[in-house]
This record gives sequence, structure tokens and C-alpha cells, in this order.
Amino acid sequence: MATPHYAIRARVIHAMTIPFTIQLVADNQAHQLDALLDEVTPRIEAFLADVDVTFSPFRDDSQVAAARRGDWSALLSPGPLDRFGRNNSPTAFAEIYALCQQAKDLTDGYFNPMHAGVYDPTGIAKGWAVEQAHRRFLKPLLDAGRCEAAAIGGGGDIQTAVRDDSGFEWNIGVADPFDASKTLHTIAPHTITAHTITARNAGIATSGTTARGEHITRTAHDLAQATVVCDRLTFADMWATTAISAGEQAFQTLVSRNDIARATVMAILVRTDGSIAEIGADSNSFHRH
Amino acid sequence: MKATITKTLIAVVAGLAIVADAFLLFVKPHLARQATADGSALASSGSGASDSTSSNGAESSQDSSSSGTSSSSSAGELTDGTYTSVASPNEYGEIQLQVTVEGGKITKITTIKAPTHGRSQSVNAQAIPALTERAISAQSSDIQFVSGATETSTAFVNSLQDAINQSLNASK
Repeated sequence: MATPHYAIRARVIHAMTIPFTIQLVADNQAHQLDALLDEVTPRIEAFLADVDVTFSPFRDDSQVAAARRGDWSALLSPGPLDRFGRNNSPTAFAEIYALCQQAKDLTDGYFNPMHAGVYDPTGIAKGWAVEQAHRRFLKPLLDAGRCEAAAIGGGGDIQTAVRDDSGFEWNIGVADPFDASKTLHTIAPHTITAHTITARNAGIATSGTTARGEHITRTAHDLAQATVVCDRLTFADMWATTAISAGEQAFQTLVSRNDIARATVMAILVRTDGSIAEIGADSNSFHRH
Repeated sequence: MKATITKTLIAVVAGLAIVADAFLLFVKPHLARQATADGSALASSGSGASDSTSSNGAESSQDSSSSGTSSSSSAGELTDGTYTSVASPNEYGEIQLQVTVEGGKITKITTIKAPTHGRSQSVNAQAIPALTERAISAQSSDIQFVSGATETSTAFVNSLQDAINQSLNASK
């Protein structure tokens, strides 16, 4: 069967100090995609602004800043993120708090939202925000049959989806951590990626060595970069951070001891010596070329 | 005759199982969340930017000494009691937050790992099909996204993504 020609359109949003890319895919109808992007982009922009207002540790008026001052009332009081009408669910702040505790537990504390006694959910909140933006605003477009595939990415972390009846596949290039200083315009895009991940419905996150020392506490230094693919970006992000923090051996142990992680987590690890290790989900459910 | 009785018995047992499943699926989570909804409703009038701003000024001098549990915040519109909220169950399980409010302030936050039952398993079952269609290929000529580490290569990844976006938008 011949590969159908897909039209892809991209739109960029600036939020949380980084650019976010939204991409929609349809079969040969680019003008329809522009209209859809016009419709959905402002809503995602507003959502990400609310995420920033709620979770940024750098804003005095954020709920995270309040929690750092000892005021945890956001656990019970809905904030701007909760005005989307889901009154019987926990506040977004409470949900992220719970996810942080779950992450700490799953990773034996290698992922720690309370580093040095200060609450910092940034490591979970960013991936969650991108995943939620996808779930709230892009997935409905697929379900309603208005486009074939939709994805959103920011800061190198991506959530993708493809409609069940579409043959489209997303190709995601993994940046080479050792080539990052090369100038862009001299090299064609596809030659500088170490690997390409082909995915339909997936969360893809990459973590690297921390130049600024932030919220990752490292116990091992054998990995220069870790890219994790799994179903949800929230957990892909968590596992990628954990790999950098824990090192290759401890990361493998953590993933293999958990049934869900073993079945769903795929990783591309770039070691400090430049060699690459691929860790596959422990099943035949994906194949390599 | 015996066969009819056996069939009836099976039907009854199956029926009860369905009722029990339905309870776990719909009623139980609803009960758990009811408490949260009540708590949120009670607290909603006291939340907002003005509270944060006022407590901000009052507490900026004691940032380092304030701990998570002993709050001296002025945002005290919460009604005393213990609130349980169930964060969205996910493939790794279900986390419950138990929040204790005393004297209008949150004094204790407890995280409880809820055991996973049939409900979570149905979440897992929905997640599995995505895995069957994933593959790594060594090189590919058309890439829509770049995944890179925020910590080291933000500018690089962003400009590469920008170039890809532009080329996508320029194509027919």
C-alpha cells in the first residue's frame, strides 16, 4: 500500500519561558488544519498560563510559592487550573502533590519533590502540563474525527497521539548531547539526531546532566542523557529524571522490579563515554529496525 | 431440572458480580470524591490571589523557617476536619491524600497508597494498545519533533524544533 501524503501544520506558543509546539496532521487538507489550530491554540495557551500561575516556584503568587511559605490550602481550594468544571476531582495542586509522592515511592526517592526540604514539583508539573494540554484540547479533535494525529511538545518533552484508523506515525529525533554546541544552520536536521523514535500514542521525555544543579540529586554520573518513551509523558518525564539521578544500573533495577514499568518503559541512554544503551519494554510488543 | 437450577444459580452469581463491579466502578470513587468536593466548596470562597498576596507580605521574612505542617498563613477559611481526595488513578496505582484541617489551617498531609483493584486494571488495559505500535529506527529522514534535555540543550532543541516547524508549514 502506498504511503498516503499527510499534511502537517505546526503552531508555537510561548509559556513558562519556553516555546511549545503544537502539530496537527490530516490527509491532504492543510487549510482545515490552520482553522483547527486557530481554534485550539489560544485555549492551550491559556491553560499553560494557568499551569505557570499555579506551579511556578519563581512566582510569589503561585500555589507552590504559598506552600513553600507553609500555606498548603491549595490542596483543598480550587485554583485557576480547576475552573474547567471538574468539581468532584481533587485540585490540580493536590493531584500533582499526590503524583510527586507516587514518583518518590516508585523511584526509591531518586525522584524527590522535597529536595533539601523545599517543595519543588517542577519535575512532575511540566510533563503533566503537556500531557494534560494534549488530553484536554488535542485528543478531543481526534475523537471527533477532525484530524488524524495531534501532538504537543515543549522543552524537548512530547506527547503524541494518532487516531486508531490512521496509518500516521510520529517520528521523534533524539538530540545528541555531545553535538549540542554545533550551529544549527550548517547541519540538516536529521543528521544531528542520535536516534529516531517512531511512536503513535506516547509520551517522550529527555533528561540530561544538570548544569545548574537544580532538583536532580545525582548519585551516579555514568549517563549524559536519558530519553524515556512510555504511554504518558508524566511518567516518561519521571523515569528520565530518575535515570539521570540513579545511573544506569539502579535505573534498570527500578524499572525491572515494577510490572507496569517493565511492560511500558522504553529508554535510550547515552553514556558519558558516548556509547548508547537501549532498554526496551520487556515484551515483544514493539520491534526494532 | 437440575440444569435449570444450575443455570439460574450461575445467572445470580454473575448478576451479583456485576453489581459489585458497578459499585466499585461508580459508587465507591464517587463517595471518596464527595468529601473533596465538599471541602473544595467550603474553601473556595477563601481562595484566590488576594489571600496569597496578603500572606506573602506577612511571611516573606520567615521563608526559611516555615515548614510544611506548621502554617501561620492567613488563608484560614478552611473548615476543620479530615478530607480525603483520590488523585486520578493511573497505571501505577492510586494515591489518596488525607488532609487534616485544624483551627482553619492544614496541619497534616498524609499520602496513602490505595491497593489497586479491577478499576485500575481496566485503565491498564486501555493503555496497552499504544505499546504495540512503537518502534525505534536507527535513522529517519522525516522528523516532526526533537526530544532533548532541558538542562543542557534548550536553545539548541528549540531552534531545531523551530526549523522543523517552519519546514512543515512551508510544505503543501
